[in-house]
Amino acid sequence: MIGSGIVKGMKVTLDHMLKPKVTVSYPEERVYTPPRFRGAPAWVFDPNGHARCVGCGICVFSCPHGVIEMRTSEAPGKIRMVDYYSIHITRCLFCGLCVEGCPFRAIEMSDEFELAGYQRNDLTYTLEDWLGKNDREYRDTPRPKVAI
Amino acid sequence: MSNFINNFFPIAANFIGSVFASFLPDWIAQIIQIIVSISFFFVFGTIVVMSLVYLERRVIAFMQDRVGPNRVGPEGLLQPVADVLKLFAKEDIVPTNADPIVFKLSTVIMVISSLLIYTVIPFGKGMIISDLNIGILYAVAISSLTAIGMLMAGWGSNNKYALLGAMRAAAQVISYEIPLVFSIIGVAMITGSLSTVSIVNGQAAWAGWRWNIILQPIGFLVYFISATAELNRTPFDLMEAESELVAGYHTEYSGVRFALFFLAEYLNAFAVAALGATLFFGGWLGPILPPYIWFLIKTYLLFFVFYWMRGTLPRVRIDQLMNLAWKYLLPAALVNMLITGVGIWVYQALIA
Repeated sequence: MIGSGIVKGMKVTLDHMLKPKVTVSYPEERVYTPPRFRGAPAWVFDPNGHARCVGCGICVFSCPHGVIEMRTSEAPGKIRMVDYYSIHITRCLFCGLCVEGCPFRAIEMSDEFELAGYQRNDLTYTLEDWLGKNDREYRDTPRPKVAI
Repeated sequence: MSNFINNFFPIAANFIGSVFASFLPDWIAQIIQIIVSISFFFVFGTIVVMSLVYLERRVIAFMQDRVGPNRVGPEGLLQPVADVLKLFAKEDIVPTNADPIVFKLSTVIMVISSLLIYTVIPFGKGMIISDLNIGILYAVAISSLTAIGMLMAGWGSNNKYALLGAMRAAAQVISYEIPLVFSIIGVAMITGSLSTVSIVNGQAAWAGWRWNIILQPIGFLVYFISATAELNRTPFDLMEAESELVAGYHTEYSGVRFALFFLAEYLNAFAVAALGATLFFGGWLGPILPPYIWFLIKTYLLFFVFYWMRGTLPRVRIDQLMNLAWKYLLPAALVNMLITGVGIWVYQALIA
């Protein structure tokens, strides 16, 4: 029958008109970030606000671009304290090697993908930037039994 | 009260006329009244065009699973205002090698010819600028003037794409004019008049439901398809085909002049949809709501079908376009005329 294809096509467009839209109104709505989404690397804090990092420096060594900067000092009781830790996000590859290398799961890829800033300094993420900002659910993975 | 609401616009026009007639000679008051109604139509037309542009973008976006303009104003309602302001703020460019007179005149011809059609469109009972007894003929004749405007724009621009677009436009508009007119003849035969008001009144039988589409389904189909082609709307937008001709005959136009082309295009489209509602869907007739509301509802619903077609159908080839007009639509319209004639003859012999 002549025109049946047109009728079918018209029906398809009418159906799609009434269906929900695929557009996400970005600043107001957010796209869903899956659990393994590779955003900017961020430190993990337990619910009490304590970092899991022990300052071993494996992430610093494993980073192919050397974007991680860490300074440590010795605290009383033979504990290593992390005084300064930063990631230059402009040069970060989001490869996840620091996350893979970390023996304590102290750093992970966060949901953060809005990486714009007004100054270059804004793009150096330090400890203060991460404290309490990582929205991911805290997973209390057991620490490996290695002596440091 | 309901009489006041139903006839609000004629009463307002008469009131303005009588106010001026109280201290001016009658003929001046009449002229002022006409000028007031014409300016009302102009403002109304501009608002309608803005609403049409907004609705077009919104409806087509919805059909493509998008949201469409929703940033400027509530739900993006002020988007066309922003667009118009942008166009008016732009520089008025006339290309160096263009023919300046023809280039500038074409926009005027386009807008005036599309505004002139509104003379014979009855927006409601008594809401018509002039009830010509040859109303339909007048509308058809005036609407084909746009072909001249397009041709002038294409020729005056001195641009190959513009000229190609204009040539296509002329060929298409003139070809589709013929089935368009023949499809209307059926309605005119049933009504026995070319006046738009008497055509609407003729559809008031059967308690206001003897719409011509029931008696003239083929006529309506032919009218609608040829009107789409006449307006250069998508499936038949060959002269503005972006992928082939940049923008067709208005390639070289920018700023205010482009805005005028846009205005003319949508004014034309609305006029054709309004004529369709008048001829086939009983114009202003309808229960409960005021007549002008019914008229707008019908016209906008017809316009929705234009959007719907634009959201669905791909552009036809030029040979398909010509084949459709000459091999299918014209014979269909002629057969429709024959059937209508026989039907009227049988009706008169048996019943009347």
